[in-house]
Amino acid sequence: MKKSYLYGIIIMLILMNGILLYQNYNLKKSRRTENVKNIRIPDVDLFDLDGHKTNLREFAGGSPLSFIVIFSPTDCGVCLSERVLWEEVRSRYQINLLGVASHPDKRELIQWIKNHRLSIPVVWDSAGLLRDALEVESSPLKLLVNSKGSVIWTDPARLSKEERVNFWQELENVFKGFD
Amino acid sequence: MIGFLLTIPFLLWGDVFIKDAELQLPREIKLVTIGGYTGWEQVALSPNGENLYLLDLDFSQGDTFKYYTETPDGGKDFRLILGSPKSRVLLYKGKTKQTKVLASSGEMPHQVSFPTSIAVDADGNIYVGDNKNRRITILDSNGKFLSSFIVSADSWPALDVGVNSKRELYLAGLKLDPEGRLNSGDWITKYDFRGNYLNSFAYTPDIAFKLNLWQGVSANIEIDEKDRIYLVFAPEHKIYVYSSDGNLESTFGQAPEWFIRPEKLALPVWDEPKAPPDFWKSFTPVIKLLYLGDSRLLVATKTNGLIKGTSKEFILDLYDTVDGKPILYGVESDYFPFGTDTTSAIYFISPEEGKIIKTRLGKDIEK
Repeated sequence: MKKSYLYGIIIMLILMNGILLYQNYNLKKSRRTENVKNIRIPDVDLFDLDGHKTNLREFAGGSPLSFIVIFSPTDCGVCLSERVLWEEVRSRYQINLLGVASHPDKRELIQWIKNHRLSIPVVWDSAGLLRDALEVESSPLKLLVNSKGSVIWTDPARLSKEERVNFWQELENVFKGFD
Repeated sequence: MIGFLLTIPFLLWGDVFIKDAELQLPREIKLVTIGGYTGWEQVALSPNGENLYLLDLDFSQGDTFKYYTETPDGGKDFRLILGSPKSRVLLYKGKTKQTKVLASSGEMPHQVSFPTSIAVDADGNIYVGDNKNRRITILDSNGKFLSSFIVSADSWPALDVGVNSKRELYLAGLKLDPEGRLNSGDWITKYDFRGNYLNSFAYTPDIAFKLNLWQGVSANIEIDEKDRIYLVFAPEHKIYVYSSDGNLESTFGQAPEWFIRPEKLALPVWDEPKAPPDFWKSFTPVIKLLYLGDSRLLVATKTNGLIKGTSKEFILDLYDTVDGKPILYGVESDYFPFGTDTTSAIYFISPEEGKIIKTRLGKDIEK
């Protein structure tokens, strides 16, 4: 194998890295969502970006249903493009909604939220407590939890327009079933 | 300058680049990290030419996975290891001949994981584009951590980084258009020094739609003293010139004679990765833009051994950025140009020999 050939191919493969990660994400999708259902979210205190405390169980207990998004600013870019859904969930349903962001650096997280004009409330999960408790392997992951904090529905990243249209129908069905 | 061994000038490439000196790098700086993979593209130089900054990727360690693909010359599979190699940012001080680790492997802001680009501003601050961590890390010239930020969620991690006189950063890498096709969107994203997103521009050219992602997602940028931005898509051989605000001012550049327009190629697709012969005969990406000052832009193209009439690893073109006309065209080279200093010296690297070569333009080429 000539070195020159290898160079060109490696450059391409480096760029394919993101796509491979995404494919890996899809492969694990089914198993991940099954694992998470019916587990209770942990009784832990997390802090928002201004330092105010939020207890996850108490947050869930404040409403029959709550919507939680587990994400990281370093999730794949295509996956994070679904964040428009998070904003719209709140405006459509007036539901309790919370973003739980796992990232090692708070300053970077704040800058990222500012750059993306993300308006949903976000708490900082620096140690990944919620991710670990639910054994989340890849994010973003959307959850619906009941007032006891049990996960009743999970939803992985919606990438295409079609997937996002279907998201609303599926969410409606969950709400109907819950009633 | 960097601590060179030779000071006797002689002609290196005919009368184009005249070698003034050369430097043998120490063994701990490995320019070849896996198989034939070379890290020489990921080298930056301090403005005074005294320090080298290198991205050291060790694919034999770290969180990696194996990947099988084909060879361009017969379909025989071989194995590559990718993922998150053990990574470091190294500083080599030419004067003292000492190597220092500026950033180690990891996920924290002062660490790196599969960095793919590096740039240095006029004050000597270092900007590292970190692929895996999706981060830009900024260090001072001695490696002290200054700041960091996570790149836009909609973007590929920075494939190349440029910084202008106002310390504004330009990241080359596709910023997805949420309403567009898979490989469409702006290719340059601009941030200030603190990581505030400013704007994006350089929408995917038509050529990218005729290529698949194999070729379509690689780009290089360079910035001149007037803060104009030069952008090239690796397979296109066309230079786009933008103002600092992102307005397209002009284009220039000349595709080499072996270049095959993408519409004439039967391109490989994901499910059938075997590339047709014509693909390889044409796949000679532009891998470096280097502004030399005085309206001169050096363009380095990587050859692949399948191009008739070329026996060297690189082909260099020199353009006048005022009128976009080539001053030199098709100069073959064993060495790769990676930087300039404040004296307008041009630095090449020889990955095979582990050498840095300091040159200057021949008198006939100077204005």
